[in-house]
Amino acid sequence: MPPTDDRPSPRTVVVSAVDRWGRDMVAYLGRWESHVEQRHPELDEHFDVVDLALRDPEVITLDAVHPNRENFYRRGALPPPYDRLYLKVCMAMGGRSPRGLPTTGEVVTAYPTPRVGRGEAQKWP
Amino acid sequence: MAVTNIDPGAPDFSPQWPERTDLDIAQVAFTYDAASDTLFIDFYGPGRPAASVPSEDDDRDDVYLRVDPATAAVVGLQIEHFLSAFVLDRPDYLDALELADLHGIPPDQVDAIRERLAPVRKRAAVDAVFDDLARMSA
Repeated sequence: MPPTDDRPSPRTVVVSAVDRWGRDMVAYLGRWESHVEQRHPELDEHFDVVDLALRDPEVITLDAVHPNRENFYRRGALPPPYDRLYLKVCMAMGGRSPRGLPTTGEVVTAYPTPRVGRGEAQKWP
Repeated sequence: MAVTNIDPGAPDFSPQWPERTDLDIAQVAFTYDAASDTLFIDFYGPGRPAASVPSEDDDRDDVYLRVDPATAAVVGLQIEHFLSAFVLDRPDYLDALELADLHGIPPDQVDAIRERLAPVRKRAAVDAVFDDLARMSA
């Protein structure tokens, strides 16, 4: 009998939120472990703050370069010393929805930053 | 409409760059992440918690300083839109990929990008000759 691999799939959903327009927004374990934890360890396992930024953002922008990307900003989501900064969550839109919804977004990256990015067009509010 | 609103309550990091001669070059790490199109340059090895503070000299916020919030020390750089836009303006930075740990992009794709940018890089090399070397002989 071959050995079983108990590791969770990289496609395991670690954040699942529905945004203000009813779009399905997810973060996958593979992306979280390989990028967010490695490159932005200040987010550690703060799935909850990413969820909050996606459900209840202060500002949503269109990326300055990538036409399929939207950035969700939310202040006060992360604990100190990042609590006065925006959490910026960058989403790639148009991927496959695990729930079969027509539009979905997938977390590409997330990090604390002091301001909304220059060159990004405001989508909301 | 472009937005640039700064939170008035956000801390003023006044980022402190390290002395370049103090850096242990063995610790400096280059990493390129294809999914986010980001080049990371870590001065003290990868994986240090930090805030991403946009460079003030950047119209599009491609370049972020990774700043330790406790000390305001710049521990690295995060260059967004790296292959999509940044290297088109600064083709010399393409060489950083030769030093980088590549995530999500095969080396042959890097070669194809290098080939595509060859005319831009050649133009930059000619400009450098005229700006630097021609001036020396004038």
